Amino acid sequence: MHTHRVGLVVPSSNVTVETELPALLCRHPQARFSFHSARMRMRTVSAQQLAAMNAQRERCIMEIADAAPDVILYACLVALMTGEPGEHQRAEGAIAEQLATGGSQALVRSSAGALIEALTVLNAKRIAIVTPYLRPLAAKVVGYLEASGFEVADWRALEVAGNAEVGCISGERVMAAARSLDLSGTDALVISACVQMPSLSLVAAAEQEFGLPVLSAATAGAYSLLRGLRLPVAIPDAGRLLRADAAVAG
Amino acid sequence: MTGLSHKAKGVDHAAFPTFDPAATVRFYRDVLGFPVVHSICAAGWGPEDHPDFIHFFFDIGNGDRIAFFYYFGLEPPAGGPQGDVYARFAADAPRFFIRSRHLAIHVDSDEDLTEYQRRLDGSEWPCTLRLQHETIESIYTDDPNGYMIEFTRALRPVTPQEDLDANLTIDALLDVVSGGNPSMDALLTRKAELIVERAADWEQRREAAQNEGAQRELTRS
Repeated sequence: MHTHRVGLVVPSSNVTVETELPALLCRHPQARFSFHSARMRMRTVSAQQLAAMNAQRERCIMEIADAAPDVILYACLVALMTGEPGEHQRAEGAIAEQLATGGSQALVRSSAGALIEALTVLNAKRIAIVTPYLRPLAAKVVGYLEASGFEVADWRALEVAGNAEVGCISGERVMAAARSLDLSGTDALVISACVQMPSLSLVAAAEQEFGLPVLSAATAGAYSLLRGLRLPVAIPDAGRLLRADAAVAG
Repeated sequence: MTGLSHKAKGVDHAAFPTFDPAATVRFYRDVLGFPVVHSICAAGWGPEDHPDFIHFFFDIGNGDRIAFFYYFGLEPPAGGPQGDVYARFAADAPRFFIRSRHLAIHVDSDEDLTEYQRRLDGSEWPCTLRLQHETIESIYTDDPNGYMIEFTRALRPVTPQEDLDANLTIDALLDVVSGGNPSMDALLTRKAELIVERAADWEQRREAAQNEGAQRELTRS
């Protein structure tokens, strides 16, 4: 069986995306994956550190492309969603051009683009989101989603600036924030709009509890990677987004 | 006329290798004032093994770009004593042939042409020539990589008659090249034949156009 190589470009202090994506994709019924990361230095989620981190992208792509991945995920949602509308397309385009110039065949996805792709596939127009960010950054993420055509009916910012600390936010705290949202009339809940805030174990239960599609930066990322690799989307126990092809895959 | 619609929008970029990125940036950015507009850092990720490289772009006006590749640690491939850094030729290769390949950049006016001449003449790469042709005026220099660069301005618009003439020349050229023994004599003979063949048709069209015009005049009055 071909092992699909997944390249991850992550903030240096990130641990969650390298935990949740393998946990998700190893449940795939047909395919195998290996994961390879390149790191951009970033410890505090502030506008300055995010800008400094984005400047390291080119180096990270050089490093990760050397491993000949099948697909690369630029896994920092807030770094792109605090930019101007369309920033994820610009970043993905620049990475794709860099890869193509060097003859790499790797596909490019970003967790920001993946979230928009997943919300679109779910036909979600009105959404609610939980973020770990400081309020000004969270407001920018909300603005980015609204500029992308989604109505953000309600949102929470847990106001954690230290990225290592974001990786330790408890499931109880995330669920408490989700329960405090006004979900009336919403089509989907983004339980973690951040690849570093852990939420994988919450997605399926939250979907049961709230009775609407629940997704996270990680499940959206997994969805986008599978679609990019033309693999069936059939991951159990991670929300209906990842069961899109479950019947087909058996 | 091919009947094919013409969709192209000019030059996206024309790319060349350089072994002297510092001089290349001095020439294009600092002497000519062409902004650096793009760069890409990459490595050889395809089947061919090649060094890490940077691909960088200067705006040459109109959104068009000239681009360079700089490969870290690459030595220029061996070749003859003349040419540029991309193509080296033997000592006996004719100079006119080596100089035939060049990039010409358009400017609008005499003042603009003279301004670029002034910038070049004050640099390490002065103009080698200022030349007035029938329809254009040009200055020439070699960039730090030995590539011939021309700046040119049109002295008058190219007329439809000249387009017609160019197409006659090219049709005649294709005929004499396929005939197996091309020469200028054969080309001009063939071109004269084509003019005779087509003249009756042009005359008819010209008359038709004139009649149409006269008809419109009549209708109007």
